[in-house]
Amino acid sequence: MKAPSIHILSLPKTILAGVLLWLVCTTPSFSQLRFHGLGRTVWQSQTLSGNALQGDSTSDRKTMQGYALFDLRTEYRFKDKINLLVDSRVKNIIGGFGGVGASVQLRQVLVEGRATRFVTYSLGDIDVELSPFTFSNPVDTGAQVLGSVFAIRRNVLRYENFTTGNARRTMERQFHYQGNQSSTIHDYWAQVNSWRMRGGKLQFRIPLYMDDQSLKALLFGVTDRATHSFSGDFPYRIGGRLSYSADVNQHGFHFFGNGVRFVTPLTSNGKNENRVMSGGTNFWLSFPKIYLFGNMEAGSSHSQWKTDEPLINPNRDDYFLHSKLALSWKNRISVGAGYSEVGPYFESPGAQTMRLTGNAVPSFFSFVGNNQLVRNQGMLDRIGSETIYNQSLSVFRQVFLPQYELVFPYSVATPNRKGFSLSSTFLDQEYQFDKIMVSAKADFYQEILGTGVTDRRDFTRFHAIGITKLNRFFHTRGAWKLNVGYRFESSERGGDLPVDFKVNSWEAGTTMEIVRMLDLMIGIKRLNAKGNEIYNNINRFNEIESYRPFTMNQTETLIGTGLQLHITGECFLMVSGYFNRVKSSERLSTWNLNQFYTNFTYEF
Amino acid sequence: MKTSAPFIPFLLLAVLLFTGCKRTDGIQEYVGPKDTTTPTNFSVQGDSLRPSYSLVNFSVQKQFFIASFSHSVAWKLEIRGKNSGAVRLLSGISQNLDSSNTSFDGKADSLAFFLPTESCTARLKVAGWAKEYTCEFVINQMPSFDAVQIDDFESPNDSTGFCALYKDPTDSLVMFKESESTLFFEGRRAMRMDGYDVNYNYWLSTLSTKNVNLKSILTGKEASSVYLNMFAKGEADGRTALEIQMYEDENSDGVYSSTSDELWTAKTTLTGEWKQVSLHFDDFSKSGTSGNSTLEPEKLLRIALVLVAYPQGGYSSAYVDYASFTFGQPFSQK
Repeated sequence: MKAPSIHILSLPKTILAGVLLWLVCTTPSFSQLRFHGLGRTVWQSQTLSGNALQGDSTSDRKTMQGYALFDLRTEYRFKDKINLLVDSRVKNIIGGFGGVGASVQLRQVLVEGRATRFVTYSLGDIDVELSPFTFSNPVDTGAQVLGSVFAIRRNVLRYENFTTGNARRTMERQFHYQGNQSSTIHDYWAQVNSWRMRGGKLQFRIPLYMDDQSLKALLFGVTDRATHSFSGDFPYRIGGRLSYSADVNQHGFHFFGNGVRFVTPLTSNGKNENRVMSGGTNFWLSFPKIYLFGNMEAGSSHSQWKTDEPLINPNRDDYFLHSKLALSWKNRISVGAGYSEVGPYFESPGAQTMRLTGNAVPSFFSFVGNNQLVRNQGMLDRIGSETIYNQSLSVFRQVFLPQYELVFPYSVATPNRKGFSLSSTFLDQEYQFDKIMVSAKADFYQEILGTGVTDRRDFTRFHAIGITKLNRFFHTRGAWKLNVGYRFESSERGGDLPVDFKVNSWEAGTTMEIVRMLDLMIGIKRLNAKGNEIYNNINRFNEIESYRPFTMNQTETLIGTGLQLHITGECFLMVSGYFNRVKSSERLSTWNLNQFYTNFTYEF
Repeated sequence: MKTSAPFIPFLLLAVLLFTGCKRTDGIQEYVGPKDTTTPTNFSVQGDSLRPSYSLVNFSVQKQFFIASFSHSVAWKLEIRGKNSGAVRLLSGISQNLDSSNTSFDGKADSLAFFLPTESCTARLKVAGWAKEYTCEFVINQMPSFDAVQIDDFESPNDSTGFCALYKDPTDSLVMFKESESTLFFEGRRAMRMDGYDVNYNYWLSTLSTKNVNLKSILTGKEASSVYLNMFAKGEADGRTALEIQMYEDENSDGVYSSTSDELWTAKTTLTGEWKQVSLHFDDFSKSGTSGNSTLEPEKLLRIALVLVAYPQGGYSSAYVDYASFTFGQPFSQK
């Protein structure tokens, strides 16, 4: 385990922090100073056993980790003109001695405000998002969890990686996007599937002097967060959006155009320049009992590799199109259908970068075997290992794990896919559910071009979840919720090089308030991935270089159980245990990981 | 606003779709290079690889190999001489091995030659498939090569080719075997020269061609297209140099005279490893002042190989095999 060191604050941040301090000391009456924060203490102890350690005299069998941190979010607002925000962190790892392992970090420094009546600005660590095909931080579907005992773990990682709030894109909330209030639909593209970047943005609201219509524009210029100094080549992304919307008598539309340019220096000589453009529309028609929502987006990418080395396709162009139509009846039952086509050469780093990297090193029991090879990730790693999350955009196809994300490893913008989707949601009340909610989605896709052969893969994905409040049925005193889910994914190809890979995954989680403020949480996830598939080996220019066929027969079970004590609404203590069993034909992948985990969190 | 307003964006979107989208040209049948990995249910019919001839005479036949696969796969076939170490590699993507894709004419990719009467092994490897398949065959006779042979040193005591030896009379134990069978590179014999340079003039012996009508071989050939080729090996510690001399009959009187004719020389150093010596006529430099200073192929009278105990005198040896002329390019087996 690496030992964190005390971070030296960079000069711009130091100046900004100094300005903030000065403003705090000279606060006039018409300004506001607010403090928010979060404190968290985590302690975890885990053991590893199984075939992966057979004959291994090097790797740890038992480790203990933990930390205590305090995040202070200081916000200084001067009228509407300026809003300064500094999110600072003090962190100390358990086991640190004499200052080793202690760190002071600035998680976010942001200046924003209103420059004129129609222009707002943001400068610093900002969140950037355009659309799911141009600039969007994809949901970690492979780490989706339904039980609270897992969700709390994953939410810690999301907080640490600045992707909190993205849960609004999960199926549980999908109903709202498919069809209700126009304000929610407007928010669809503004949801926080954003990447935390460093730079600035300007937002314009162009006056039309018509209440039912609006014209907005966004311009931004950013670089990846805290990964590059400004002394040499650094990646930068410049983009924007123009949108026009009208909403009259419950009917309306939203027309938008997005554009973004990515410039990424390569570790070898050269650079990648990528341009993604898109345009589309959302429209909605609202009648007394029926609500119709549609969404279309189409666009293109141009990727240019500038290097001295010979390339097969130094310039790659391709396009995508996406459409969706959803119908809602009484705001309780909704059905939707969509068609999507993403070209094989469509390259959009802002949308295709994975949130969880498949070949990243887990943060506990990172290596196994006497040769200290990276331990393959399991389900517990994907909800509890900070190091496998990714905060920088990648112009390369990252390694994905087919047992967790087979059909759309690179989000809905996964290249070389065409097909249609069907979805439905049922709520037992308008807009929300009181006793039960069921949602299902099926995707039937195919490769546009075969990979290495003319035969094309067929993809099927089916995902269903159900959430019920059992206390409504059994009339228990405390809240009692049960979530169940099922996921099936398959990849099939005929011909001389057949592919047949299937993933079945079940999960269930329940949270029961056994006494006031004390929840009992139990969750189980089980996965079986079986068949043969082929990995594409990518070269340094994102070209397929060769293929690596593999067969996998993996069965994995993750059981979690714990107690959560709600001390106040903003403060809880969680004590839990996890048992992750992985039995796999993959090398060094059969192991048992048991973990004891405590988490004390308070917010203010 | 009229309710037809939402259709305006669709019109704009349609325009965008039909005007703004294009896809990279090039490989349109599939993405990436051709996938030639082997499927898991791959099999080789009969589980064997067979040669078309167990004893092959390359002067009149070509060898080929026979196998049948369950799928079209990428394969590599390595043919290796057991004694010579000569190697020929064949590869392809197919469902069968037959005469159309595994034809083998006895010529090697390696510098080393396959040898007559040599036993060879063919080893088949299928991409992504662990099991290998082998078969054996024997070479009866070797093929001819695209070169005009001066001497293959296969015939002991013949009177053509390099067979006229002039020794340094004051050196010791100067030996010459026109056709030595203990060490060879092509065929089964090579020429051997060795001896002790005791007078420290470095020269040990000179071996000249005899009864080789160079004029008929080279008449009509452009000097710029002619290569003199041979395979040679010396001492492991590099104490051997080979000087190649070409005697030009400038006045066409049928004899060489240092006062009226031209001598052209080139030198190469030898080590303990066989190497190909291919000398273009431009590699030769004129020795002496007589003549028109132009190397004219049709006037060549004889060629000589000079063993030089270079650079320090003492013992030195050289083996030379398969001397030939080629035109347009250095000697190549294929």
